[in-house]
Amino acid sequence: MSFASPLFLWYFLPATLVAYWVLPARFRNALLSVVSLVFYVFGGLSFVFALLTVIAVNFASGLAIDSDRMHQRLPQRKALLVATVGFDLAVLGIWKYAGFATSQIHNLAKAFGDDSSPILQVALPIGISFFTFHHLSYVVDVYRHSRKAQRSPVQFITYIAMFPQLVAGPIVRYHEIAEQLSAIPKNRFEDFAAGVPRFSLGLAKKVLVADTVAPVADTVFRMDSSILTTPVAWLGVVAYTLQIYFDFSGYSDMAIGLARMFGFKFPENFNRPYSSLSITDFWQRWHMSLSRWFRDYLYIPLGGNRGSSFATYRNLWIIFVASGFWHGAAWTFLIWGMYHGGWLVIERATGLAKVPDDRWVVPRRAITLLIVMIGWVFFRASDITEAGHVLQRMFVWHGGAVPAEVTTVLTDFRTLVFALACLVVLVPRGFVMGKLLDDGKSALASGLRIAYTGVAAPYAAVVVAAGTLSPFLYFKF
Amino acid sequence: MTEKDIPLAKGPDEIPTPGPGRESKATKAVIALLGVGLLFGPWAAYAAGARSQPVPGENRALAGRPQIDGFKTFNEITAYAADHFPLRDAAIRGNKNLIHDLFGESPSYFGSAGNQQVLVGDNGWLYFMDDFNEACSPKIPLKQVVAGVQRLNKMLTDSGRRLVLTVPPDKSTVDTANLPKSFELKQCSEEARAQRWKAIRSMGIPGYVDVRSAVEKQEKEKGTPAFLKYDTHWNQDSAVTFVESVVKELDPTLLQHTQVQGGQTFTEKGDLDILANGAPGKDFPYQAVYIVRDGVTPRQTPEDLSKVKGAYTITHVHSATTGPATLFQPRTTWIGDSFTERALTPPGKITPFFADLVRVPELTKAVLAQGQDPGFYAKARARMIAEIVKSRVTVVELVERTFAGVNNEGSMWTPAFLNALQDALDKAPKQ
Repeated sequence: MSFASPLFLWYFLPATLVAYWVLPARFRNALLSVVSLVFYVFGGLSFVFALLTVIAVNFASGLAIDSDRMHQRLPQRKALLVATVGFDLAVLGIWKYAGFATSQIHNLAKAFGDDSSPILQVALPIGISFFTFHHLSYVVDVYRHSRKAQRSPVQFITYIAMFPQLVAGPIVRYHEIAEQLSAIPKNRFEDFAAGVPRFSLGLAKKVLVADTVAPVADTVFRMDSSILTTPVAWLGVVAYTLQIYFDFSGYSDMAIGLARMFGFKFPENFNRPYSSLSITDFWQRWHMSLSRWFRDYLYIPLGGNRGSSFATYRNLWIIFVASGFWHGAAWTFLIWGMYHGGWLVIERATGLAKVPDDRWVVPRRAITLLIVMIGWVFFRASDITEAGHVLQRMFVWHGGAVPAEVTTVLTDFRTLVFALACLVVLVPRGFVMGKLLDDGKSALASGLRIAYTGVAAPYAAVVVAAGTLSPFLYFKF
Repeated sequence: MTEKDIPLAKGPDEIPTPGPGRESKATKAVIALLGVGLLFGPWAAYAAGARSQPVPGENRALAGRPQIDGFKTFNEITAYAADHFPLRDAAIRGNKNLIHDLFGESPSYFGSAGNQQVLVGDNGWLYFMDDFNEACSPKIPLKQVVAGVQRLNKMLTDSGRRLVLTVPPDKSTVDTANLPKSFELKQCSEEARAQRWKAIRSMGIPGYVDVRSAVEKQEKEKGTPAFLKYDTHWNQDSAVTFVESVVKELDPTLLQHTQVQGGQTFTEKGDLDILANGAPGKDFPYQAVYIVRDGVTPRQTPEDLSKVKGAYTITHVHSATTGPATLFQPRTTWIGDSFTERALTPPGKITPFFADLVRVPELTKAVLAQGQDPGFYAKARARMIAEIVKSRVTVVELVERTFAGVNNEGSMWTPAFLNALQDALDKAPKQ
């Protein structure tokens, strides 16, 4: 169930809010757990059983790891952690990567003349990458004594499955939210008034910007390379650059706003990433909750930057290879991760990452954005060949008329939204809309809260509603 | 190791955790009220009597109430929620007017049907995306379609009846000159189509009428496209070719004393234009072409089978002749889609050939009608089977994408439908 759908906006969310407002405080986590599972069921009934099984295993494991008995048996405690982490990764691996792995084995076997190797086709449970990382965060935090194990299954389900973050993040590390799970939110009015502007911002970003520019990127990326001209290739890449940012950050804004409506404070996930001055800076601003997770649970355990330069570069590269594969089981994602990891290593080795923020701001911003956009080609392309075609067209001049597909998709409205979105990306990097909406105390902040909630979100809602228009072809009969 | 040295996102303190702004209670109340209006506004409208209605151009039944049926239930809930929230129609109209007034164009929606159903070709030609979707991702295997057709033919033949089958080609099968040079499903649809037509033409059905070849031949002779630029359907000349091809298969002598006459120019909407640009759509000029048969007085009467007017109309044809032109006498059931419907539109190209014909819409229309008339599908299917049983001849006309692209209840090639027909034929006397 998408946040930007009639079912969510006018059935699920209002009903959940009403129940949340009228129920006594002690039942509110239980309510959130139940409605979150209902939310999840809409992505696949059978997957909810898989989710509950994984939840049960991690809950039990957390209790065992944190038990007095285990505190006296450290090797067994560590073994239990390793087993639980192995279980979580195996679940992720089977569902997300088994198909990819078997298809690679099939291709390899085929190259040697054996066509019989089977390819596994497994339906992917929605949000599996997110809830796996939540589980790993939980067991590791408990193992590290960062937080006590959760004794309440209801609170544990609330943490893992809470619908605002269940399918698209942000990734909330357990120690960031553990105290909030037990604290009963006190002021429902304050929470709602604080959450709804942020949700509105996210809805507007997703529906009015990301969904509007998406067809431009879709059209360009599916064009035959023989008619793809250089300007059109750049148009498609810029469109995708805008789409992925406004879509993903919009979803994060909605998640943060929704959580706030229910009394939870989620970590920020984006901080004007396209205003970054280096790729190192970019990764401190893009999908920050994922970066923090990798930092805490992989980079630092690997040794971080405590060892030699080589060890640091190796660790960075491992992080980004893992990050690439986390995003999807395809070679294109792996290349994207390696590409970013490579830039981080270069910046660290050359000292570029440490250039003061006020030096050469404009060229550094431009070059960083260009590097990021080239990376998005791999992220968006369906395979390496397609990415190669688009990149070749971007950098080797190929003129010609603008294809009809592009002129058709570039309506006046879409062109205007495209231009405005570009301008938003280019404004000074100190201006962060989400931060202003949540924490701003100025009249401008209040005005923007009212404008987003009273104008932008209602128009986005109208577009969501109007998007249900489904003309039936044989209208004459 | 300090956090500053770590080239990954810094801790949560870098951006303060969100907290409510310190604004006045009144401002917060305004924001909360706006938020309540956003989420609960449609329900306030519902309380005031607003109900969702289909909007012009959306000539379909809204989704019916969800039935308890496993996971299907959740899909049905999603569809019902999308179709039935209050103020939906007002939002669709409001957005259309806003975009039209400001930009002079129609809105398009990401992921919505309106945005995906039309492929814009060269020279303004429009194509139906389902032509390609159904070819690349058939909902029913071609083998099952062929087996289903062969079984239907055997069942009818064994019971002394006769099957005439014809498959009008998709527009994108015949009029390919204006297809874009490249588009997403080009290659797979071309390959799938080649296989599909090979299978259709080698099914071994004696009563198969190759209307595709006839229309392509006509196109070559006349030098004009067989299909309409803004519509999924073919032009009037092709409709005549279609009817004549089927009639010739039934009885070639019926084409004697038959003239094709050009009529006046009239205007009509293009279904693809409406899909692409929204209702009400532009008017396009068409040249009418009539079939006139010496001494024949055609007569057709519609019968609304569904409670919803126009959702599923059965047409009875009883023509009489006083002249030299003869009529096809055996009772005939003609199952067809919109290609048949257009050939029946008064004065009708099919009508003057039959003494006793009943036209029954194909089953996907029954499935769609069920949205507003629960339980209707079973009634429609039973009626279709009864009409086949009552008739000596059954003509089945299904356009290419429907012929091979519909599954479950909408298809005639499922064991459920064929078994039910077999039971009915077994109980009826041999013709």
